[in-house]
Amino acid sequence: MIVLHVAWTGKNFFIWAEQEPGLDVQRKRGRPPKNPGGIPHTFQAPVNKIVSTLSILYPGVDWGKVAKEDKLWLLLPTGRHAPLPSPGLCAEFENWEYKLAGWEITGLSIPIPTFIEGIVACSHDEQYGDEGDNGDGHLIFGDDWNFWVLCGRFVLRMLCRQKFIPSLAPGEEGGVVAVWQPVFEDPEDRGILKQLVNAMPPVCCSVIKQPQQHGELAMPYDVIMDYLRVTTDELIRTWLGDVSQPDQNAPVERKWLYALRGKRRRIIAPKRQIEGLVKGLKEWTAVLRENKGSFRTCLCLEEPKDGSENWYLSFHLQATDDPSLLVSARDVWQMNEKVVTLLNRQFEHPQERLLEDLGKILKIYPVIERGLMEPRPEGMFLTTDEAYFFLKEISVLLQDSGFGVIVPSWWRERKRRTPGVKLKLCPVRDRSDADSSGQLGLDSIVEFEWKLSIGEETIDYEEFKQLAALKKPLVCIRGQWVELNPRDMEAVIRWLEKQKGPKRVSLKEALSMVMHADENGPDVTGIDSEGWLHTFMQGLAGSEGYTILDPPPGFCGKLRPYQIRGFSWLTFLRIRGFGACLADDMGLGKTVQVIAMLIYERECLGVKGPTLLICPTSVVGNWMREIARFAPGLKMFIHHGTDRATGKEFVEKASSHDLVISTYNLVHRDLDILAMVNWEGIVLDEAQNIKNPSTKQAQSVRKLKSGYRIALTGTPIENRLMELWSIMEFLNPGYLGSRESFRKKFVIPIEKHGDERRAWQLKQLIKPFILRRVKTDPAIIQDLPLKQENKVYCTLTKEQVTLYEAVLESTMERIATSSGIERRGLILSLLTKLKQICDHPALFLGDGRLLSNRSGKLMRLVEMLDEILSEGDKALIFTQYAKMGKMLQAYLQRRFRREVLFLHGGIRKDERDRMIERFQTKEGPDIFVLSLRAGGVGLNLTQANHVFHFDRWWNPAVENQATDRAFRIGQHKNVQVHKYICIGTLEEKIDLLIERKKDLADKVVGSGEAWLTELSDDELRSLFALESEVVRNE
Amino acid sequence: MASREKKGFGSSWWARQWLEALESFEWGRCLTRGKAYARNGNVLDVEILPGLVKAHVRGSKKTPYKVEISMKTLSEHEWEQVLDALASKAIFSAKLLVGDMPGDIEKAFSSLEVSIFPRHTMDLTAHCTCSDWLSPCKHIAAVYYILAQEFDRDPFLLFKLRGMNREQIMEAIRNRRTSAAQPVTAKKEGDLPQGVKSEYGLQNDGVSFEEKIDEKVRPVTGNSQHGEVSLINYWTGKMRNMDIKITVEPPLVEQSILKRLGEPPFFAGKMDMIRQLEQDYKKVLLKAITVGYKD
Repeated sequence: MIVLHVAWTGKNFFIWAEQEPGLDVQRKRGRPPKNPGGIPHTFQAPVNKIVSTLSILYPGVDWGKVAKEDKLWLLLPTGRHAPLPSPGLCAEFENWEYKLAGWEITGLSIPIPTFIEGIVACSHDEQYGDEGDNGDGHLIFGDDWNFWVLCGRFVLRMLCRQKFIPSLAPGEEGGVVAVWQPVFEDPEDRGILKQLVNAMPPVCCSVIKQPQQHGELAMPYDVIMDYLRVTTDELIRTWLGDVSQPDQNAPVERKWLYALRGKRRRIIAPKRQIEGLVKGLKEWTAVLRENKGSFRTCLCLEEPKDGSENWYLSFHLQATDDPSLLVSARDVWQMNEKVVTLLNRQFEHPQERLLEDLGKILKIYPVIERGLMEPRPEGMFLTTDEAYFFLKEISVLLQDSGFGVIVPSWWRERKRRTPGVKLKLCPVRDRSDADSSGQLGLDSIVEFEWKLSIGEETIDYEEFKQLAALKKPLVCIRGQWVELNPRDMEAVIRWLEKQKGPKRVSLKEALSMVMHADENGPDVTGIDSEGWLHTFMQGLAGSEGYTILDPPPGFCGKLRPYQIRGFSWLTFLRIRGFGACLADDMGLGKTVQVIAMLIYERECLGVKGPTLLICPTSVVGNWMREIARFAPGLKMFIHHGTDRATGKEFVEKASSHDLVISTYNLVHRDLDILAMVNWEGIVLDEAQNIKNPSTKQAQSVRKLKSGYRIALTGTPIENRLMELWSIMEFLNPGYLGSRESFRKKFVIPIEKHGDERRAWQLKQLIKPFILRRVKTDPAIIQDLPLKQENKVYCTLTKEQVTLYEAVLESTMERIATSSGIERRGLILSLLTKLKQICDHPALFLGDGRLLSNRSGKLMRLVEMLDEILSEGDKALIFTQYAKMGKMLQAYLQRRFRREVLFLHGGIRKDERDRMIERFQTKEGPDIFVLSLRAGGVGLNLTQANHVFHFDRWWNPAVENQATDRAFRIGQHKNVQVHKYICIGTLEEKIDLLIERKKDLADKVVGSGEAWLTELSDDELRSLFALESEVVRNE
Repeated sequence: MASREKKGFGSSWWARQWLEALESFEWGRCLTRGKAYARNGNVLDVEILPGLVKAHVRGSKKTPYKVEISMKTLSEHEWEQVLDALASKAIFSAKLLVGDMPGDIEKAFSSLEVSIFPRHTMDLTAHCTCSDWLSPCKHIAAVYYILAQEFDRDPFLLFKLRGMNREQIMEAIRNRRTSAAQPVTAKKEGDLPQGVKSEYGLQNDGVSFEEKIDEKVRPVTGNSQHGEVSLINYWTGKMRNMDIKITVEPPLVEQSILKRLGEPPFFAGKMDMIRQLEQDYKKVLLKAITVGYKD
């Protein structure tokens, strides 16, 4: 495992890497050296390893040649005698005390253009590397790396949008040099800059000039600006290429022009000439520096109202901070006061401001002169051609210059109103039942026809031709102005005339035409469909077409209204043979919707064969309990563990059950026997497990034969396009094309270039197959309780099972032979030990090795937090063991590479208040671990909308008190409470006991866990013993 | 006073017209010598007052000569006519306010038989403390050239010389424009942007744009800039909490900045240079797109 880092030195980039520190580093004792600033970092990856890593990651560059070995000094968090590893490394250490000290780093010097062109431009799908500590990831990009790559993209963005100007700067050795500088005038760019300053990891400011022990971190803003300026200048002058020197007597501005290219920046000229140049440049660029004050001039273009071609451009003043506040020129000409106050905004000389601005606009847009020929102009008429040029070019220039521009709203959406074609689809026969013969799903046969269109409007052939013949860039069609390019329109017509071929194809072929038509043909602007196809294409959004089903009689429970809609949708797609992805937010009950569908297909569709459910081991227990609760009649078994059935035995067993539950780990290993069954359907839970399509799990899952396919996921897949592809490839193979073509056509344009049209197209394509409801949706919220409690059933790992049984056995023997206080003590200590084992073996053993795959609870916690964090939510985690809290903090910080707060009894009040304050700010830490005792009362943590009880106190009052930290007045979000319970252990059995016996519950409230000591040996044994059915994590 | 060498004096049409008017008086060689004086920076200062110009010019002696030039101010009646003409079209004010003399303003005046430029030698009376008996002497002539340069910079100075300053003119026009007239006190000229740091008055980052960036972007100085540095966020900052999206896309309008800035004043008349810059911008865009759209 190595962690790649990059530092910005002010002149170039410096790449270095950490690797796993040997144990000796941690244990080194003795006096620290006199001057640690001068000594080398102790666990760096060797330079040749970095070169070979870079060569694999970025093969376009000859790294051995361009990278020069070099040294640098960085301030790094330092423990007693060595730098502390960055959170990417999974090394564990106990001591969190640190100070910043200088260390010598050996790495590679990389020229600016190489970094930008060779690395920034080739970012990987998995920019953040494969996280996880089970040995998957051999490489992690440090966040300093990610940060500087992001800044590099920002530079590319500025250059691509031509937001730079040639300028002058003082030279390092006196004199002046020519520079290109970025211009951050666009509010969006300023927003990005602000975010970057905010997000910057301090390590990016840690370069120190010489070997020394101590130093100060540089200021983030200064370092970022330095980076942006220097890289902008260096890239542009490199790209423009070297030029020969102008002769000595050339005019100074010519010398300046030459000095803007290639390597020579310095301008050598008499002082007076340079002064003149500086002055001239300042005058020239003064426009870019202007402060507009509280009002600015705004031009407003209105489309003709009377069917004529008279566009009206009116002049206004506009409040800078509130664009909706406009003062018309007519009113301005009435204001003769020196200072005018409008809606609490003061400003001076409104008439002169308006006139001066019009004077400036005149330089950009000379046409406006026509409108200024009277003493009190209020606006002017434009022809359609003039209006088009104003919309297309002038409005952008004016906005860039800081003027207000108001244009008709359709102009911003014109990209969606391009001429193109629409696909019209009809089912061959309107089949309303599933049992009719013929092809299903994407293989259904449909009739299709291309229709000419402008935007979503279908236009008939003759009208379209007439419009093209007008050769006008702006045309009003049915009261709606659209931008038309006659050449594009003719191309569309030619393309359409060439279309022949079958009018009947499979639905998949028809839809794939949408994907591929515009590669050498027109834009596909939409799909019209009829009959059941219409219902299907609309997705649940246009739900009027769906038959809302009644929950099947065998379903024991109540479905919320949106769950009924979801279950009906799943059933519809299942009947039609489409793969469906249910992507509701966590807590909305994906499981029950699927369970309802499973019963429905058996009770109402006459399905007999088995369905296969694949999920992570950590949720097997949850499925068992949910099925037992909602569908006790469903025959199911778990295919897992060392004694699982094999071969023919498995096939027979499967065919006599309704549902087989297995895990991702086994899918590959047991592919042979799983593939022997003809599954009725396959359901993937936590489908993000196949997000990487090249993993064995993903490939194996795709090989299984089944009637229908369903994927469940709670992560927002519409934002993770490769994950989306992988899941869709499982659900509807081939639908989104090959991985590579999907990447080229959608992932890169959408993710890197913000291509809205492609994003819209993709959305149209996947809409029928994905149902995602979010908990903040008002239509959902009304169906949800404000506080929602879930029990999360976790499974034990093999290690936990072994420990649990061993501890139980040996202690029970001692309990049996003891009495009185000793017996009570033993029982309570046994209880504690077993609970600790359920939490994490390391808590019980104190061995300090904390890995997620040792504890079922921790595995589940990581999965759920992953989803929660990707939604931008915040969570509280309560545990009753301070040591567990500390381990959770340490582990989660490293796992998620973000700060995790931990509040325990030893924290001073002022520190505690500071933590709470930080957690309560939106950008503050997202995870807060609290020990139940310290965090139970008096805190206000309403930013959290998830509360975890990592272990149980068996005291509802205490637990509710803790939960109420998040659920308080002031909480506007719904709060989800997740109570962790290890299945088959004392945790589950005590929980059941308390639920069933009200009197016991009262007892618990009164005396905590003491009531346990009153139980007999047999009662104790049956309460503590592991259920035989327990699932073991492997 | 520093003069813009080799640019000649009067790059704008009104400054040129000022000089042409003088040259039409056939003062001969003393104008040429005055031009050289002006170019060499011999005019130390110049003050323009209504009807009067005061200047100091370095000559052969140790103490500079004092030059005074009087020019006839327009009568109240003449001014009324000029102001009426100026107020007749909004474009005149718009141009003046951005430092341009409206091109057709002389046409507006010619019907009034008023000119803001001198028409006869009698319109100007000049005096210099030098012993030269020629009038105008080269010192006076030098001041005429520097005046052209000043008018270039601010067309209002020409009006000031004829008797009304900027504030008075704008107020008078505004009163004509607005029905309800109210007196307006003169406003202080806007302060020039500050940024004098190095020997050429350049900021470290060149001609600076920083004042345009919100204060919030540039946080207070000191350690608080890094917030609370913990062992984790030292390496990660808020990278995990913030989802920063940066897309690379071509500009909506190419060369927007160049189009807005227009021709650089110091390039006047040298079109090949602005074309050179345009080519540079194009080249950068092409290259940036190739790199930004690499995959």
